[in-house]
Amino acid sequence: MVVLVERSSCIWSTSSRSLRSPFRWPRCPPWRRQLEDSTTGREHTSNGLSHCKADKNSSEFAPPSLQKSISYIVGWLSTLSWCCGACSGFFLAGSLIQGCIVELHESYAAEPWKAYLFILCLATVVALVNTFLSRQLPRLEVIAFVLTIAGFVSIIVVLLVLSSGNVLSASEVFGTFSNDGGWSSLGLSMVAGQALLVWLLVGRSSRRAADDES
Amino acid sequence: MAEECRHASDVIPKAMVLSYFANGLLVFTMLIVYFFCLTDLDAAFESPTGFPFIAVFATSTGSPQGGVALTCVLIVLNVFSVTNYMAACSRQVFAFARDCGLPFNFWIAKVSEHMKAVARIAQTC
Repeated sequence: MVVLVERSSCIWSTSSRSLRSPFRWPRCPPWRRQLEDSTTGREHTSNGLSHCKADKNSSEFAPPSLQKSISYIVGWLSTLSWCCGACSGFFLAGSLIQGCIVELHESYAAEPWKAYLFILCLATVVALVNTFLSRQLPRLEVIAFVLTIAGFVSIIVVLLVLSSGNVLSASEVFGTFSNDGGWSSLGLSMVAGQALLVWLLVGRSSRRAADDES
Repeated sequence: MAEECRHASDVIPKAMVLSYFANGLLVFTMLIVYFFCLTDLDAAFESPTGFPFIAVFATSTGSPQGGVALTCVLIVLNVFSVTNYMAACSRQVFAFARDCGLPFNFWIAKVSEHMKAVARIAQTC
């Protein structure tokens, strides 16, 4: 760990080139840069861009005494949030598959470990795709976009057509408020229920992306 | 990911803002349609599947098979989104490891000569 901390002092060093920064940070000693390059294989990195992208914001604008710790906190937070987000996606997909089986077969015993097996299977497939088909990922993104639009339209059309005689009226949809959570008043129940909706509006992925890419 | 696309400082913020509003509009439309179909709230919450919307789909389409068919669309989309999410996740892990932030960063940050891709992080994640 001492080695890690020692070498991470290079994190903010290259930002001294930036004209926006009002401060002048000391440059990395050349021998240390060389050591880093030889140990991390940095000359092989993707397209030769400069390093220290992930923590540029915190490293560039933080006070010098706090730069290292803030860089670490921001880096760990954003990295862990990405990993947890990927995990939650797998969990949702695996539980949905199990939910479909439960819906179709009454006798199926929905054990949690069976859902976990679905999750592991999905994670393996996705990891293999990401490893061996990484060049096709932009194409996959286009396919996902087309499928998203198609799926959105098809679900809405199917729902509206098949349930045409059996929908709520507009006054019921927009005018009914219920307090099913056991809150003391309807207003409090509304505020508590809005937490989830506001969470949808946060744009969590884009914030992390900004952290990553700015 | 921004390192791999052209004009990143121009394209990425635009894409982020655009996707935010486009997705918000789609979600709002879907929410209203869903509320119109939510005829029996209690039955939906007591669904044995653990997902109330599967029960709503089933009652709206009139059969469990119909509800499962609609849910399968969601599962496929979810798998696609997780694939792209994992790609972004691996880039983030790679970028942080390149800055010597993670343990075993020397191993993670090395890019394979043959693959020219961030293969190891995809496996680690």
